[in-house]
Amino acid sequence: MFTEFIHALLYSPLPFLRYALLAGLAGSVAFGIVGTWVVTRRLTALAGAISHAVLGGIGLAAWLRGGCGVEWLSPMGGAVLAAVASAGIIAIAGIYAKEREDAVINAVWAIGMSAGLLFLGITPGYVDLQGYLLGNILLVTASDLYTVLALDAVVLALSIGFFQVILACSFDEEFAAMRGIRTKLVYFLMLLVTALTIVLFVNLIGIILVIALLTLPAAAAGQIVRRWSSMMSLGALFCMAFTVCGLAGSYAWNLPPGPVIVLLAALCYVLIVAVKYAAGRLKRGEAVLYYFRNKRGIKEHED
Amino acid sequence: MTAAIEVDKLYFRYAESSPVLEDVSFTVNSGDVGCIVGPNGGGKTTLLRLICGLLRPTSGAISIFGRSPAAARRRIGYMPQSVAPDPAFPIGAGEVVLQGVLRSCRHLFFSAEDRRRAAAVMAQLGIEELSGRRFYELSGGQRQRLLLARALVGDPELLLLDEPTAGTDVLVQQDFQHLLGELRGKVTILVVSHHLQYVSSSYDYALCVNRRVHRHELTHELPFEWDKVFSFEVGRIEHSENCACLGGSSAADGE
Repeated sequence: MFTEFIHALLYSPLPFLRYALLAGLAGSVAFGIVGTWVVTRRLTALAGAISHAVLGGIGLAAWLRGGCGVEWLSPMGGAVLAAVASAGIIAIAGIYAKEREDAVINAVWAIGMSAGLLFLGITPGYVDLQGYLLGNILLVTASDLYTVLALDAVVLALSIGFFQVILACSFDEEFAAMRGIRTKLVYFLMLLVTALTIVLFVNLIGIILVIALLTLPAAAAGQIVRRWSSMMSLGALFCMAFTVCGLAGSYAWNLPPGPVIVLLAALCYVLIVAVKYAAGRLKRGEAVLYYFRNKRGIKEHED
Repeated sequence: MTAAIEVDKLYFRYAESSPVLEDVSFTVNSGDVGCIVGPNGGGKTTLLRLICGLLRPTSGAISIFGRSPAAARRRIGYMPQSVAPDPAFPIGAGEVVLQGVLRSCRHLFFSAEDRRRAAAVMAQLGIEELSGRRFYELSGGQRQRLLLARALVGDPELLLLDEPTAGTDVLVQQDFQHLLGELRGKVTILVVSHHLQYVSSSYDYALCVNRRVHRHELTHELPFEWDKVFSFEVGRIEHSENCACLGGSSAADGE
């Protein structure tokens, strides 16, 4: 089944499949690490808001190009702009108005999407809205690949270099502050890197689905391993496996890649949770058996 | 004797709500072991967080060893009532203790000396066997001792403990009183207690926090053998008329 996919990868004159696969593999490194931050620090809603608000920037860039003839802002540049802006707004809201954070997060989510739809609506000519929402691997270019690699370098350097600091801030922010760590700066940096990571995968699997690929591999890894660092590396490996298998499946059955990748990730997550649950039941069953056997043993001894 | 904590005309309120602490002034001498008592919602934890510099006074001043709380932070060992991260946060017990020696953002890796120190403090508290366990697997009492180890491992000069023995059994409370005895003289200690009137006789004084703060002494002449109830020697806090802690109208409305 996958021979066609491999054949296309190796011999096709069209490079987009190769780019998509390489971008997927490279991006998985960042996704494993940032996904672990997002899952263990419970920033999922926040990551969702950022990924949707990205449409605002994409829409703005498209409108500037199509409607006003301004060429300096590419859709990718607009997406980065929107992601950084929304991360900044959410970070400020989180730091200065803690109790209203969820309201701000949802507002950023809706405002970003509305602005994006509005800009795309007034942009003359055809705009591939569905490509941005659900992903389109035809959009992945060689320069995207280099950007993904650069992001990997940044994420790896931050997460290895400041491993203990980020871990301490994620586990107990107040105590980290007591140790002289600038926790607000760390929080903002984490949000910023999360925002950039999301942007880079928007082309591949789209605004709506990117959040699933960020959280599912890390969450699945968290079910299996017991260390923060292992959760990151296993999360990255899972993410790679989901992307490669998803791309192959979508090529083989002629399906859109984004949903295939996300559904595969979800399926694996559910399977892991189910197996873990069943194993837990089995263990408890054994414990009950052991208890009864032991009880009988004591009785025999008494007799 | 030098002052460890000096609080002068402190007022504090959260955002728009009514004041939590009003006109608070007191001094804690270096080396003293004291406790903070008061009704729920009276502002005990708020006062502790102000001393840590985690909250800023609305008005008034706090100085720790003659410096601002933020500047003195790393000389303080703080144990919060609880930490509530993701319930399945994948972190080992040993890693939690090591956070107590984290020095700054430039601190990249823990040295062998840091690890040796963390192991020594865990051994001192009798929890060395927990070091390989995951934080989420531990019981409430084990977590408390782990957080205590984390507060102690940084070699603090001021130790602030928020209800370190809440919900623990008599043996753990005895161990804790024993530990306080060992630390006496080496470090200034302030412990939030959830008891109102009878506390361990090892405390030199009690701060009664109920929107206002009063300093009380302990008497050791008790009408009843409370020691048998508490399993360690207790003293009675001499609440005064104006602190309104016992039965009086509580000034507090929510923490």
